[in-house]
Order: sequence, then structure tokens, then C-alpha cells
Amino acid sequence: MHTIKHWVDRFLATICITLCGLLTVVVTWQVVNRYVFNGAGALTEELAKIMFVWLVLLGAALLFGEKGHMNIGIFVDAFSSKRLKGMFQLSADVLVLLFVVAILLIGGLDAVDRTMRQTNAAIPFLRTGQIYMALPICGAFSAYYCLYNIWNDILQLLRPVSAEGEAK
Amino acid sequence: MANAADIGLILLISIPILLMIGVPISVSMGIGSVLAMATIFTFDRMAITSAQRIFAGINSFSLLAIPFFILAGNIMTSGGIARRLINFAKALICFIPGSLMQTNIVANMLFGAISGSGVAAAAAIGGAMGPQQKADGYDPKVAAAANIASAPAGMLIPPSNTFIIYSLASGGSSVAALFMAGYIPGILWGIACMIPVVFFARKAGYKAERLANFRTNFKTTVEAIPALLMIVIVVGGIISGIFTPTEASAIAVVYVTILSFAYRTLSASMIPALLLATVKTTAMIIFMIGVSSIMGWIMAYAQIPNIIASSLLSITDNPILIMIIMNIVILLLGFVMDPTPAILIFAPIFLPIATSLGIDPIHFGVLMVFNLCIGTITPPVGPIMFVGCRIAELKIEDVIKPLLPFFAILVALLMAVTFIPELSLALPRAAGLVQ
Repeated sequence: MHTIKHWVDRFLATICITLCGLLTVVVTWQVVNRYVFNGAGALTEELAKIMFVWLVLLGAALLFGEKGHMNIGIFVDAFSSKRLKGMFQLSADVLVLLFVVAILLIGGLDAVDRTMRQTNAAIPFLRTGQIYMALPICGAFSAYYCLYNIWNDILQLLRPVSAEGEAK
Repeated sequence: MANAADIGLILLISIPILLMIGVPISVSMGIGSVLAMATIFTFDRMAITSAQRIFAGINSFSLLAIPFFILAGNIMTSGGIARRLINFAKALICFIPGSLMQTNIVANMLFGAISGSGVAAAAAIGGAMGPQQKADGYDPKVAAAANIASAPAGMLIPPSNTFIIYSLASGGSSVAALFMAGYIPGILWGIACMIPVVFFARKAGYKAERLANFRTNFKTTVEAIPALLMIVIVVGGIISGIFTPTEASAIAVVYVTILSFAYRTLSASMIPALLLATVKTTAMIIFMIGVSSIMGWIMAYAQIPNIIASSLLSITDNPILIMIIMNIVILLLGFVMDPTPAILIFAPIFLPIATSLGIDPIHFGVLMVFNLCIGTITPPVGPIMFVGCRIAELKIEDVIKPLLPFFAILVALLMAVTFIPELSLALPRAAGLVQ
């Protein structure tokens, strides 16, 4: 379980790092291209936007795995009981799972399905549906991470009360 | 609109509950909006509409400036540039009492003018100044307070990611105009922070330093020129229309990369880690923006901003009173929320009220960002305060008391920015960016 997560993490991180580096190159190229070669920017701008959407959605999936999304912890922290905190943690993770599956995965697949025939205006060989693929892919990775988190939450809750002292 | 009240009620109840359970802010907004949407759509239509809203919310070339400015800030934190800015700031103002703290304040402003992030300024400048201040016998608590209080100036002084987010949330105000509008309030923020430091310094007997000789100052200035030149390239390029804010931000990344390689504070092996850190911050902020556009859509569908505006205006139509009420509300929001979600959620609600009172959207943007900047240095949710304390190895309780005089003067300045629109609008008007 942990080894798989490790590899998924590395896979997503590598893609994101590459995309982020390439984005800098693409947008810088757009400026150079305009002033030095008098080229139009429509294609690079579209390309940059597509890369950006993929970067954000894959990065967001990666963050679900790290629990790196910004949340407001002060209310939960106010409870001293470890068990209660664990329950909150579990319900939060289940809610996140429901959202990523319903909206990103199912809604995303639906959106891909309906736009597979539209071609992109600036890059004719790309179909809108192919660009939309970022949504269900983000949904699938996020769902995997959520299940991983929920699994850990349950293990944490099942751990006998007497072991609580040692765990800390 | 029969079910506007239902939709409003669902958003108002579900989102705070989700936040309290500890669900991430982005997902809380998403679930709340989807529940609200369930009152008008079937499941299929709701899922696909929400998915498409997320995509459309992210798919924006102007948002692309945000990762680039974050990356530029991350690269700058690695060293060389921050040190040269500090030396330059010291040469500028070492004659004022409490000179090392004053240097910290000016360097924060300069760093913010290049990187667009208050958190990066507090970390890079505060981290470099702290040991020097300690060696010179400054009270670390007061020094940390000065660093924390002055760091948000960088969010007002362009380039500023916060303004890019406001531009989007307000339905496309000009980023160039917002950038120009931030200059005077941002610089005043820095100057305001210097006043309490003078009193602290007098009381504790910290001295001003004598001006260095001309040759040293000249050398320091020349060394800082490449870093300062970036302000000219980025902001000058945007204002004059040579490139868009996004292109300027990419140029900024290339420029600081070259500069940091030249200063030998950056090596190729550090780049993947810097990129990964950038990706994480970016994904967090932009995913939140994407999901918030579901909420924007459902609120616009139910005409919630209009309803709130008209009910507030029916209580009182005294513009001064309404402005004060809005200031208090945004200020309180800033205490418990980060600037990005606060702007995404509340700019669409408050802006129609402000414009109906005849307030320019650019002026309102400055006002909102100014309020939320104060929130970044206050507990319980104050990212700049947290970073400033961590850098100085202090607890939050330690810096609260020395921070109080800074709060007082910044709130006074907030009032000035609220009721003197020229502070925000004079520069963009002079540049012909606002009517």
C-alpha cells in the first residue's frame, strides 16, 4: 500500500515538475516569438493554458495524497479527544472522496464524452474532450489517495485506546 | 427566483459546517455549491456542469501569472538577491533610529516589489536580518513584529498575486490598473510600520547608524541594480503594454534564474525541488479558484449578490456607514481566512454593493486587499505571522504585544485608504488606466 503510493507520488510529481518547467519555456518563447520573429501567440497561449490546467489538476490530486489542501483546523484542534479528532478526520476524508468521485470522475468523464467531437480552435488536431481528460484523471488519482487516507484513518481509529500513549 | 432563498441557505449552512469538520476549503465550497445546485438540476446535469465550471475556472491565461510569480519568489528566497536588497535598503535608511529594523521594513517592501508575496518576504528578509538584529542587541520579539507587520506591503506593491485573483473574482478588472493602484497604499503601509519602530528604538536606546561613506553606498547601489531592474522590467513592461502580466511573470522567472545563477546561490540540482514547491502552492490556490467558480455560478444563478446588496442598502443608504460596515466584515474575515478564498467568495458579493455606492472597482480591490493583508498578520489564521514567528523561533504569544501599535497605525491607514480614493486611483489615472 505504502509502496504503491510512493510510486504514484513520484509519477505525479515528475509530470508536474516537467509541466511547470515547460510552461516557463512556452510563455517565454511566446514573448521572444512576438518581438523577434513577429509570430502570433494564439497557439502558444492555448498550449500554455492546456498545460496549466493539467498541471493544476494533477498537482491538486498530489496534494490530496499529502493532505496539503488548505483547511481551517482551529475548530477540530479545539477538541482534546484523539478519538473525536479521528472521527472528524475520517468524515472529512469520506466527504472529499464523494466530491472527487461525483464531480471530477463521473462529471469529468461525462464532459469528456460530450466534447470528444469538438476540435480545439487554435490546435486543430486536439479535441476538446482530450483536453478535458485532465478532470477524470485528476478524479481517479484523488479518489485513490482518498481511499488511502480513509484506510489510514480507520486503522488509526481501530488502534486500541491503551496504545494511544505510545503512538504519540 | 423562487428558490434563491433555498440556495442561499444551503450555501450558508453547509459550507461553515464542512469547514469546521476540517474538509479542505476548496472541497467545502465545492460540496456546498453542488448541494445548492441539486435543488435545480438532476445528478447528471449537476456533475457535468460542476466539472465544466472547474475546468473553465482554471483555463485562464491571466491566472498563469500566479505560478510564475510564486516560482520567482521561491528562487529569490534562495539567497543572493535578498542579501543585495538588504544592503541597499540599509544604505538608504540607516540614519533612522532602530536602523536594522527599519532596514528590514524597507527590504520587505523591495522584496515584495519584486516577488509579489508577503510570505516569501517575511521568510527571506526576516531570516537574513534576524541574526544581525540579535547580534546588535535588538529585542527579538520587537524585531520579529516589525518584520511581520511590514511583510504584507509586498502584497499591495506590484507585482501582486492577490490583485490577479481579485481581478478575476471581480469579473475582469484591469490587472495593470490594480498594480498601479497598489503602489501608494503599499508604500504607505511600509512607512506606517517605520513609525512604531522609531518609538520602540527611542525607548530601548537603539541607535541610528552613521551614513557610510559615498564609495561604499555607491558600491551597494550598483550591486542592487540588477535586482531593482526587475521592477522596471516587470511593472514597466505591463503598464506600457509591452507584455501581459502573465508574460511579464514568465520573464521574471527567467530573469531571477539567470541572476541567481550569476550570484552562485542557485544550482541546477535545486531546480526540481523549487518547481515542486511551486506546483504545490499553485495547485492549492488555483484548484480553489476552479472549484469556487461552481459557487460563483450558482450564486449568480440565484442572484445572491444582488439580494445581499439590496438588503444591506435597505438598512442604510449612508455610504460612509456602509463602507465602515464592509471594512469591518472584510477585516474580520481576514482574521479567520486567507486572502485567496476570502476574495474568491466575497468579492462577487461586496463589489456590487460598492459600485452601487459609486466606488471604483479598482479602489474597492485595493481596499479589500488592504483589509485582508491586515488579516495575514493576525491570529488565528495569519500566514505571514506564522512564517515570521517560525523564522524568529518565537511563539505567537510573544509577538502579539509588540504587534499592537502596528495594528493601530495600519487600521488608521486603512481608514485613509477607504475614504481618500485618490490614494489608490491617482496613479492608474495618471497612467490613463482608469477613467
